[in-house]
Amino acid sequence: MQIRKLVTQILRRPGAILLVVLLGLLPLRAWSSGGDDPITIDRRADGLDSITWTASVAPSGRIAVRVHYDLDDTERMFDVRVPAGARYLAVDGDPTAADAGRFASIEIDGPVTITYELEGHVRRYRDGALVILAGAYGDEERNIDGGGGGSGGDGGDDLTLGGDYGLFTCPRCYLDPIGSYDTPVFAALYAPGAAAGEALLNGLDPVRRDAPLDDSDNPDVISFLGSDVDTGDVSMLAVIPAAAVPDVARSDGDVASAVADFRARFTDPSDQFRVAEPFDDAVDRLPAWILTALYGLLLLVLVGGPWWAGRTQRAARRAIERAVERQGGGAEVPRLSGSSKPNDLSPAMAALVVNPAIDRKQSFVAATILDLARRRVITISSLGKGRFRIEIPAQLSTVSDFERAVLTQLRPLGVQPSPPKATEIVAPPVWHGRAPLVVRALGRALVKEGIRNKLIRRNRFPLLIVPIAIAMGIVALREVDGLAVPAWIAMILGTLVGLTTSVKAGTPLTAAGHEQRAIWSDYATWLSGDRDLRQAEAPDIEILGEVLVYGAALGAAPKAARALSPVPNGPP
Amino acid sequence: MQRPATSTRVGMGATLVALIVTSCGGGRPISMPPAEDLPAPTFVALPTDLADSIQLDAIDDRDTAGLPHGIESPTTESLGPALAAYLELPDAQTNLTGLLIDDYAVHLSYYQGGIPGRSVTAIYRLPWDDDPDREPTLDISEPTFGDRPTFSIEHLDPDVPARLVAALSERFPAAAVDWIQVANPESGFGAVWRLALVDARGELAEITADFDGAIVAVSVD
Repeated sequence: MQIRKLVTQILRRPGAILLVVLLGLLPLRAWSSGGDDPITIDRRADGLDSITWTASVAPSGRIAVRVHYDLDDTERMFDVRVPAGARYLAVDGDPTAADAGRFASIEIDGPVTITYELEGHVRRYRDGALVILAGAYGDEERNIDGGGGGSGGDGGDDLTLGGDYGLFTCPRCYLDPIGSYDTPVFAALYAPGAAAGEALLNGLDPVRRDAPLDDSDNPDVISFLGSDVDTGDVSMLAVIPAAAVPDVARSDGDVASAVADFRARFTDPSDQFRVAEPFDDAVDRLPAWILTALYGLLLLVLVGGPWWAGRTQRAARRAIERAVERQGGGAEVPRLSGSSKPNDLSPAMAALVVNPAIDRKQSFVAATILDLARRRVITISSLGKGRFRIEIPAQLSTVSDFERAVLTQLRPLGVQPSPPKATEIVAPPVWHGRAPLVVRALGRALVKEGIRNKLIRRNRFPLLIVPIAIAMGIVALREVDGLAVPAWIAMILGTLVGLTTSVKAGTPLTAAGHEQRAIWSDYATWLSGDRDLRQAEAPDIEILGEVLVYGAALGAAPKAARALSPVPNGPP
Repeated sequence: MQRPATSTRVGMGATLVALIVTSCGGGRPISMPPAEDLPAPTFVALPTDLADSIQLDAIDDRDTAGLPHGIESPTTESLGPALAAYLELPDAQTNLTGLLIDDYAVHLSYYQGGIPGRSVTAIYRLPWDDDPDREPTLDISEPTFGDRPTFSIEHLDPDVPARLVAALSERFPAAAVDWIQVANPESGFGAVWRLALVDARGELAEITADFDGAIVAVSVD
């Protein structure tokens, strides 16, 4: 039954439900995360699902290339552009004639595969070989070796990246209409021992070596995947073992210097090559554990709050039952009969426990003023026609902190005069335009007094949601991929839910407060049956004494209470 | 059936919104296709019979209405003797700047005395008639300026042009090779044979072949 009540309480809080669901996704995602970031494509080119590029390097350095464009079934013209010197050009396996050996146009209505072979794109050094699919020398459009088996490159500074000499020619430029968006590229370069080498890419951002293929039993492939930015040119430098191309004439120098020389030709940031780093498969589970622990804590707070409140109420009920039992025994116990004041609880505290929503019902102020008048600390005298005068002497006799706060607020501008002097107020109105300030100031004073008397407590429990949600958001943002949006929402929502729940929870009664409430509610019921009390005015304190004080405190003397209350419309 | 309370409905709606927001949070992740979707491309093998060259499939044999091509094939059989005669020259260079075989001669261009830019052409010409007593001639042109890149004749197989011509004649009976030359190395292919295949309608295709005879590309109008 208790659990059902608890669940009902939680279900009544949609913000909390949303937060629980949202924050629950964070540890779930962290646990399901497989190491490094997956590469994601935010703006995918229209109609082109992916490009798969594969190549084989022969011992002679000749390269067989296969480019597969995974296109949708839209009818379109496909302008085939291959590097100068491309041999055995074929489209979907059919040998194809090409203008000047490089250009062809075909009509397609689905995926298409282009194959060809290249020569002169591999250089061998003493410590490795470099596969260069990265550019052309200026307007002459020779390949990297300056003409295949010809006279060799001039090594000048007019090398340009991309163009028709990379992995493939800018698909966006020659394939209509796919738009300037990004396209996934999957690539594999086959050469003996290639897995031990590395690939440097330009035009793919991000780019990663691929673990599944590299981890396979085939040591002769280096594979990578990436996002082709704007579906444009992609260039590559690949380092493979020298033994993979034994028939290529050896050049002077080493691979590192060759790569450095090549890269040094390009100073524009957009021309830089990125090393395709392997995926990191080592999964760090610490963030997942942290998120799970924080999530558990959050559930504890959300479930524990209502549970704690229920427990307090049950404790109060038991306390009342015990009190009733003791009353039967004639001991000094709180009185539960309604016809007389149960105990010496101050009227402000009685008002607080019976009606703890102090933000709207300010009868405790009126009751305190009346009590001060009853005890002759101040005087309230009638001026006739509902008007009365409050006189506060310069020197006060013994009063509580809360009473002193009320009396200070009754002084001009809410300040104790210095030197002390008497104050006289002709009312109503008592508070004039200062009522809102008085409400706030005396509300705070009352809460302090209530906490000091252990009748109420501050409920800071829901505030724990804020740091928990923020901590989870930060951990998710920093340590878990693909959770940026939920993490931010969780942090913002967590702060809102925590703060609003805390404000809503207010200052609940303690077990002692519940006990006093039970006791004083009985008295309040009895007082509310008194019709004369309902019509009593503030100056009647001289006649009615304590009954009017508690009548005002407990809502049974609304007329007197309204006259003295700082709440604009007065207490109920 | 009892409808759920408003607060519960709000909670369910909020949960749905959260799931939608979360699912829209990032781009679409991509992952490598299986290895079998990334096959290693294979190389095209050199056929024993050059007429079986796969790249010739790119040429559509066209209708010529039975008209003959009227082309005299290049004197490919002269390449061997022409090279031999050329190498007898006192200033013969192993690097040529050009080599053309047409229907009456073999033209070999080179830098005279190895001086870059000083280009001359040695023309190996068969006798005009069939008189067996007349010898082929090797004439040297006047030097002119030329700055074409060179290629080596060391790996030149003099039989390949004849094999290519024969293969094309076999594959395209209605056409014939008009000329054959070593293409400019700047073409991107490096030093390769280039042949013009002509039929009664004009040029049918231009064919590119490696020095070993591998037909690697065709170009059609």
